[in-house]
Amino acid sequence: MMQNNSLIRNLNRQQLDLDETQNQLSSGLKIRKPSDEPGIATNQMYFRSRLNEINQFQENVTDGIQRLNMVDSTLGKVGDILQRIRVLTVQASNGIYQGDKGFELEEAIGREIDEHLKAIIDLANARDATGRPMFGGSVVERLPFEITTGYPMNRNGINIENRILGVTYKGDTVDQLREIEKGEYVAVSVPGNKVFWGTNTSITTTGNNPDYISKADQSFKIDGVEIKINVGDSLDDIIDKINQSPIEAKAYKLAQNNIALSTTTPHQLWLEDVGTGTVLKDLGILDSESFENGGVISPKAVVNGQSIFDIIIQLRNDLTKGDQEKIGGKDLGDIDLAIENILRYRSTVGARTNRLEEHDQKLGYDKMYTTELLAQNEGIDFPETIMNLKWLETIHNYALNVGSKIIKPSLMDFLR
Amino acid sequence: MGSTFSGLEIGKRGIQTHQQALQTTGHNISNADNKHYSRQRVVLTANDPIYDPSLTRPGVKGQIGQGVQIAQIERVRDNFLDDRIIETQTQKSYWSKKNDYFNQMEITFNEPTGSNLRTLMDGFWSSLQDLANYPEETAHRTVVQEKATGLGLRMEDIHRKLTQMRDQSNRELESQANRVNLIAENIRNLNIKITKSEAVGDNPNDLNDKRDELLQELSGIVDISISRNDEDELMVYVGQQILVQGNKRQNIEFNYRQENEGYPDLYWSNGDKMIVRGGSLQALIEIRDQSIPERILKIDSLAINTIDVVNEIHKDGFGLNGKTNQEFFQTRNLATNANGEIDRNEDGVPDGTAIFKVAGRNQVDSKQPIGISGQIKFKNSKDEEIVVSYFAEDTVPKVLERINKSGSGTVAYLNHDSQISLKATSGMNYKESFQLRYIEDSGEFLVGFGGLLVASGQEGSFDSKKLGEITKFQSQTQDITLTPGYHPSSFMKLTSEIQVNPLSIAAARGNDVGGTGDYNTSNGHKDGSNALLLASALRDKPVMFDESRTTDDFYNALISKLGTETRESKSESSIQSELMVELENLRQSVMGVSLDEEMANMVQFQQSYNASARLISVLNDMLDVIINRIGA
Repeated sequence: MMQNNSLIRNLNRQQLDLDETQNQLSSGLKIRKPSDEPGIATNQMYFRSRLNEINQFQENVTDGIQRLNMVDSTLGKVGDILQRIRVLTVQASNGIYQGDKGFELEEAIGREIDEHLKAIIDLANARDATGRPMFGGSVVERLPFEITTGYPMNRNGINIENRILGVTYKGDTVDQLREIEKGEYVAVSVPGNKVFWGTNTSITTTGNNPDYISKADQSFKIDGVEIKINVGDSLDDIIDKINQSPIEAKAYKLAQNNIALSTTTPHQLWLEDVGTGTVLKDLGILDSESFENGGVISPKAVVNGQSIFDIIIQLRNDLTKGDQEKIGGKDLGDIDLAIENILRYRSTVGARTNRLEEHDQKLGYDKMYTTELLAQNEGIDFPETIMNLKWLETIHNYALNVGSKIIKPSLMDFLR
Repeated sequence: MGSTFSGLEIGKRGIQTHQQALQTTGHNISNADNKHYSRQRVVLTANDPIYDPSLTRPGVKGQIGQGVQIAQIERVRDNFLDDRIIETQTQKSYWSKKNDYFNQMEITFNEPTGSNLRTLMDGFWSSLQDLANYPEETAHRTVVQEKATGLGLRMEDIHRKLTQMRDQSNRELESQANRVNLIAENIRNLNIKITKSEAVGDNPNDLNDKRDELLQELSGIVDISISRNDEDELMVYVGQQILVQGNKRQNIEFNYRQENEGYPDLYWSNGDKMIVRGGSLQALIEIRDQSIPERILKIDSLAINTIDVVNEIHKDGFGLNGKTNQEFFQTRNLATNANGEIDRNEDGVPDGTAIFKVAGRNQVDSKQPIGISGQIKFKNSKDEEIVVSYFAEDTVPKVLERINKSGSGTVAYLNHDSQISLKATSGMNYKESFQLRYIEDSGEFLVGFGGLLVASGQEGSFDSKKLGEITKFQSQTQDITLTPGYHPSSFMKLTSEIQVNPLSIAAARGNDVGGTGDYNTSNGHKDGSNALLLASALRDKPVMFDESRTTDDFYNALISKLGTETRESKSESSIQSELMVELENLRQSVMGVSLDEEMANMVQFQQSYNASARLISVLNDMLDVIINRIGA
C-alpha cells in the first residue's frame, strides 16, 4: 500500500509538472497568475500599462505631427502669397506706373491684392482633416477670423464695390496640447493672433495713475502668463513684475505716469484680469465696463499694431488712393515684417515637428525595449522548456516502468 | 498423572486458536485497502501448565504444558505518529483552505494577462487622451462613456464576486462548525461504547480505529489536542476548551453580529468565545473576516478615489454644450443631509460628521517656502493624536509628504488647481473608512495659507465626532466630498447626465472668476485641457489612493500583495501535503496491512492448524490402540 501510495503520488506530481510545462508551451507564457511569480507579475502589469501608454503617446505624436505639417504647409502658402504681394508692392511703389494709366494699373494691383487677401483669409480659416479650424486656438465652433465688408470710397470719392474692410480675430490664445510623455505636453497649434500678425503691438493708456497702489493680492494674465500682484504694489512694482515675466512684451512708464505695454514680437496682446483682480482695469488698459473674457481694451487707450490682414488692407487702400510714398515706405516695410513673422512661426512649427519626430523615435525605442522586457519577463525560453518537457516525459516513463515492476510481485504470485 | 484425553484438549485449543488467528488474518486482508484500519495482531500465550506447585501436586516431574490460548487481539498503532499526523492535518487543511480562496480571489482579478481592472483603467485613460485630442467630436466622447461604464461595471463585478466569496466562506464556515459538532457527538458515542467494551476486558480495536479516523477528520477542521492520560476517558480540547470528555461534550454555537455585516462569531455552549488557532475553520474565519474584507476595502478605495478624482476635475470643466459643475460618476453619501451628519451609534439621532475629502480655497505655490510654522494634529484609527509640524523653510510638497507618511489615516495632495486637499484613507473596516477623523492646525498652514479650516487652534479644529463640523471648513461646498455610502465599489455608475448626453463630458477647462476657487465660468474655450488633466490624474499625478501616490502604485501593490499571499498559501499547502504523505506512509508502514506478511502468516497459521489437527489425529490413533486393540 505504501509503495502504491508513493507511486501514485509521484505520478500525480509529474503529471502536474507536465501539465504546467505543456501550458507554458501552448500559451508561450511563463506565468499565468500573479502567485506564480508575484514580482514578475507586477513588472508585467507595469510593462503592459506602459505599452498601452506608449501606444497612446505615439498616436498623440503622429496626430501632432500631422497637424503641425498641415499648419506648416498652410503657412508656406501664406508666405508664397505674401511674396507675390511684396512683388506687386515693389512694382507699384517704384513709379513705373506713373502717368494716365498709372491709376488704372494701381487700381488693378489693388484688385489683385484684394483677391490675395481673400486667399490668405481662407488659409487662416483653413480647417484640418477633422474639420477643426487650425488657427483658432481652442475655438472650434466658428472660424477664427471674421471679415467686415463695406464700400470704401476711391480717391474720386466714389464708392467702389464691396470690399473687405477689416478682419477680427475671434479665436483665443489657447494652445492645443498633446501629451507626448507623462506630464510632457507639446502645443500642436499656433493661435492665429500670433501668426497672422505683422507688427509689434503696443497699448498706451491715457490715464494718470501716479499713486496707484494695489489694494489686494490679485493677478492678471498677459498672453496667458499669470502675473501676481501683492497688496501695496505700486505702478513701478507692477511694471517690474511684467518685465520679469516670461512673456514677449515689455511695459514702460511714460511721462504722465501712464503705462505702455508693447510686444517684442509681432502678436496681438491678450490681456485679462484673473478672478476678482482689477489691476488692468484700474490702470486703464482694459475697459472697466466690459466683463467679456480676454478683456476688451479700454476705448481710452491707444492701440498700435497691425495684423497681416490690416497691413494688406492698408496697402490695398493706399494703392486705391495712389499714395506712392506709403506704398513704397511703410507698407512695404510692414509686408516684410509680416513675411518675417510667418517665417518665424514656420520655423517654430518646424522645430516642434522635429521634436515630435525625435520623440516618436524615442517612443519607438521605448516600445521595443518594453516589449522585449515583457517578452523576457513573461515569455518562456522555448528550447529550455521543450528540454524540460522531454526530461519530464522521460522521468514519467521511468516511473511508470518501475512502478509496473514493483507493484506486481507479491508473495501471492509464488503461493500456489 | 494427567487425563487420558488431555492431549486432545491441547490439540483442540491449537485448532481453535489458529482458526481465530486465521480469521484475524482474513480481517486484516479484507481491510488491506482501508486507510484508517490498523493491522490487528493475535497475541498468543501458553496456557498455565499443570501442576501448580501446591501440596496436592502429584508426584510428577516437570510441568506439563496445556497448549495455547489467545491472550488478546491487539491493534498495531503508534499514537505518537497519530499525534503528529493530527498536528500536520491541522496545518495542511488550514493552508489548503486558504489556498482555495486565494486562488479564487486571484482569478477574480484576472491579472496579469487578459481583461482586468488595469486594462480597463488603461482604456479609460486612453479614451481621455483621445478626447483631449479631438474634444469637438462626439465619437470620442461616446468612447469615454463606454470605457468609463465598462470600468464601473468591472469594479461592481469584482465587488460582487468578492462579496459572494465572503458569503461562500461563511456558508462553509457554518457547515464546518456544524461538522465539528457532529463529529464530537460521534466521538462521544464511540467513547461510551469503547468504555463499555473495555470494561468487560475486550480490545475494541475497530471502534478505536473509527474514533481515530474521526479525530483525524476533526483535526483538519480545528486545532485539537488529545489527552489519553485517563484510559477511561479520552479528552479532546480545542484551545483551553473541552470539546469531548468521555461521554460529555460541548457544542459550537453561532452568534450573529451586526458589526460584522451580519456574519456570525463562534461561541461555546458555555458562553465563552471560541478561539481557533488552526485548521480549515481558522482559515475560513481569517478569509471571511480579514483577507476578503481587506480586498473589498481596497477595491472600495480604488473606486471612491477614482470617482472623486474624476469628479473633482470634471466639475471644473465644461462640456461641448457648455454644461459645467457636472459630476462624471454618481455619488452616494453615507449621510442623508448636506452637512454630512451621520448616526454612528445607530440610536436614531445623528451624532457625527462624515467627510471624505476637503480641498482648500487658495491656490498655493509648490516651489516657494511657506514661510510659516506650526503643528497640524490628526487622529489615527486608535484615536491617538498624530502631530505633523511644518516650518518656515518647508515647501508645500514637503509638508504634504510629511502628512502622508504620518500614518494618520489622512493623506494630502495638491489637486489640479494647486489647492491643498486632505483625504481620508480606507481604515480598519468599512465603517471607519473614508472619514476624516480630526484636523487641527495651531498655525496658518491649513487656515490662512491653504484656506481649508476657518480658524487655528483647538476651537477651529474639525472633529468627526461632533455635529455640524462642516462649518469648520472655509472651503466651497463643491470642494468638500462627503463620505460615500458603504462599499463605494458596489456602485460606480455614470451620472445620468453623462450617460444620456456625451456632449456634457467636460473636456474643456473653465475660469475662476471672482477668486472663489471655483472654475465655473466658461472661458469660451472648447479645448481638451480638462480631459488631459483627468488623464494625468488617473496616471502619473500624485493624487493619493490611500497611502499610494497614484492609481498604478495602489493597484500594483494590491495585486502584488495578493500574489505573494497566494504564493505563500500555495507553497505552504504543498509542503504540508508532502509532509502529510510522508507521515501517512510512515504510519502505514506501522499500521498498514502488508499482504506479504499476512500471506506468510496465513501459511504459518494454516500449517499450525494442520499440525494441531494432526496432533488430534495422532491422539485419536493412540486412543484407538488403547480402546480397540487392548483387550480385544
